[in-house]
Amino acid sequence: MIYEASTLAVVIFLAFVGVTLGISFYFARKASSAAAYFAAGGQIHWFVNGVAFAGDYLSAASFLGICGMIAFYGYDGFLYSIGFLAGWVVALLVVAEPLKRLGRFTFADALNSKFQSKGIRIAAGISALVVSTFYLIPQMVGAGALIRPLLGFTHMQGVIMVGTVVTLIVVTAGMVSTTYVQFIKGLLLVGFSAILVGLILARGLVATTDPLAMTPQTLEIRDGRKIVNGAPQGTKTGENDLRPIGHVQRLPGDIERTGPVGPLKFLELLRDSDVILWGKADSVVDGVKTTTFTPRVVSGQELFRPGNHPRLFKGIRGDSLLAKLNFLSLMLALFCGTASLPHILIRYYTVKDQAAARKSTIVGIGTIGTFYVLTLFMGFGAMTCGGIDVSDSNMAAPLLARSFSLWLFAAISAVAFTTVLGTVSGLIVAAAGAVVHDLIGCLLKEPLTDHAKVRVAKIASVFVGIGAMVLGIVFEKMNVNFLVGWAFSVAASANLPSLIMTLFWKPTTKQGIVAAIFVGMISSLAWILLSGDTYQDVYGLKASDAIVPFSQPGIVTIPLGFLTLIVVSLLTGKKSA
Amino acid sequence: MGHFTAADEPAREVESASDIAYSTRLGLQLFAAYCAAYFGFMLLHAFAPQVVDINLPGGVNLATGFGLGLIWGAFVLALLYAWLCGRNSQPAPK
Repeated sequence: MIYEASTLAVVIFLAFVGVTLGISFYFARKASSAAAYFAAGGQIHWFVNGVAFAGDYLSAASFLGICGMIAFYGYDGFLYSIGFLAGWVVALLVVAEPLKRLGRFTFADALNSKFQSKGIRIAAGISALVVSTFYLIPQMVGAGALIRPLLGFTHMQGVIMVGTVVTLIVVTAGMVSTTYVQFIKGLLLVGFSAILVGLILARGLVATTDPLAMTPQTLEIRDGRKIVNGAPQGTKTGENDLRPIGHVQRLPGDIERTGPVGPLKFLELLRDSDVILWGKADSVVDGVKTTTFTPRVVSGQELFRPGNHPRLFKGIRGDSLLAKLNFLSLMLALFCGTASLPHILIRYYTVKDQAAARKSTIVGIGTIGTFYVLTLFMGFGAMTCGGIDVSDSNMAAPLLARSFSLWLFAAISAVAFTTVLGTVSGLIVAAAGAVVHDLIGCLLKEPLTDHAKVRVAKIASVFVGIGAMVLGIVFEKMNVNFLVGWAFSVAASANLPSLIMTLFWKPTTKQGIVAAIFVGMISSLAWILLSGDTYQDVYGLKASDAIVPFSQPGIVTIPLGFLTLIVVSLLTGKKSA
Repeated sequence: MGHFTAADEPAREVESASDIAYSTRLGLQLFAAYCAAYFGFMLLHAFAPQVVDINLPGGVNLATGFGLGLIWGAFVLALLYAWLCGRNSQPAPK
């Protein structure tokens, strides 16, 4: 679909960026020491930190990816919401307080509190760097996907612009400015999502009268030119553009519109309606790539049933054990991944004590949980708003807003931009912290001065920022939600076993921790690189030729990490005894 | 814009060993309960998808109702945990 560049969106976006950078420069004065730069001096109020947790955690994948997945496939997208939120229970009840008690700057501090081992610090530092970088990819891809249609930039220009702004935020004041950017973003995201859901419920459901609602559409790419439904893509006379989709075919009682409804009534009415969903098929003949979009009428009951997504969740309804394991593996990774993400873990060091860590996690769970409940309504609202893009599910939330007003579209787009800014800045701080404290700190004989630590971290932030931009450009075509699932798998496999066992299993040895981190990280990365989805999407090979039997590694590599730690600890523990 | 920091709050005593032991034990017990619910949810989806398709009173099916329950349940559990930890915490002798 061609989007008309909105001056309003540009103005609001620039205002958001201006305010965000203003905050960064304001707090930069307070961040001269290493403690202030990496952990905001441990002086962030628990409520601010709790909302900042939401700002840190609710990434482009949550906002754009989940809404898009629900809008296109129904309930399946909500499974991500459930998994992402459930992971916070691990963070609160198992990890938060001991981590705060044992650490100072990075989660390697907690792992290393008993052993003072260079090996642990280096392993944890590499793991934090790898996981943060892996998690940066979907954020930057999401940034590019969002900026292209809204501001008329190319994907590359969009990624470079977002990367530059974020790097500037982090370089100016580190964790203090990052925290306030995330706090503002968390409030805006939940606030505007609530407004959007209120408008969805006030509008209710409307049955379509569009005679073309059930007509298939085609998009051909011929010699680099796009042909839509037989004519060049465009909005002038003689040109065609893809028609917006998202229609209700029939409402209960064959009424035309429901009028305002309550939240549960909205779900019930949708369940008893018929909705038009679109399938997509690609073919290449004589160098011409043709994508055909085909509508089909689906009963509302079907929309609330798991297993509509053609790749991720299809296996739920089949008989294949491997497909079911793939689903279980993804849900396990989402559950275990949250408490293993370095950029989330370092936020526990920005508050003053364990009680504040506990309270800020509860505020985070409340804020994040509210948002994820709203995603269900935003996704189904987009599915039935009549204005979404058949070729791009990531644009469902902003286009849902446009179905109400251009102002709301501009505001939601700006919020989506800050979503990317908030998460990416947190990731860059985490990666820079790992480089300075865990890697460079171990390699140098003399410890760095406080001032030098901050300077090195700023240089590291610039390099990580540049790396993020490059990866965001290289991985342009990958599905954002899918990449996030993988990042959670790597984080959970590499970090969770060592974190949990260090806290709760006394025989754990430093060799066991180092082995578990490397085995978890390498095995999960290798599994991903050898999976059918990577074969198909990255290498352009047949998915059936892949070496590993399913795509999501967590169900194998997380237990493998635990097993490695136990075996190596038992072996090395005996030796040292 | 004011810098709303933890320094604005009164200083807290460091938690005692018994408080830490209590919060750890309680955290693990509540975690086990939530794990049972979450893994039950996962297994139902994987091995009995027809069960989660059952409609509940109130307009949603079991899948959606269970999912919403896990989200709100996490928040309720978090509040319960904070309340129990706070109630157990004894003020330090002067």
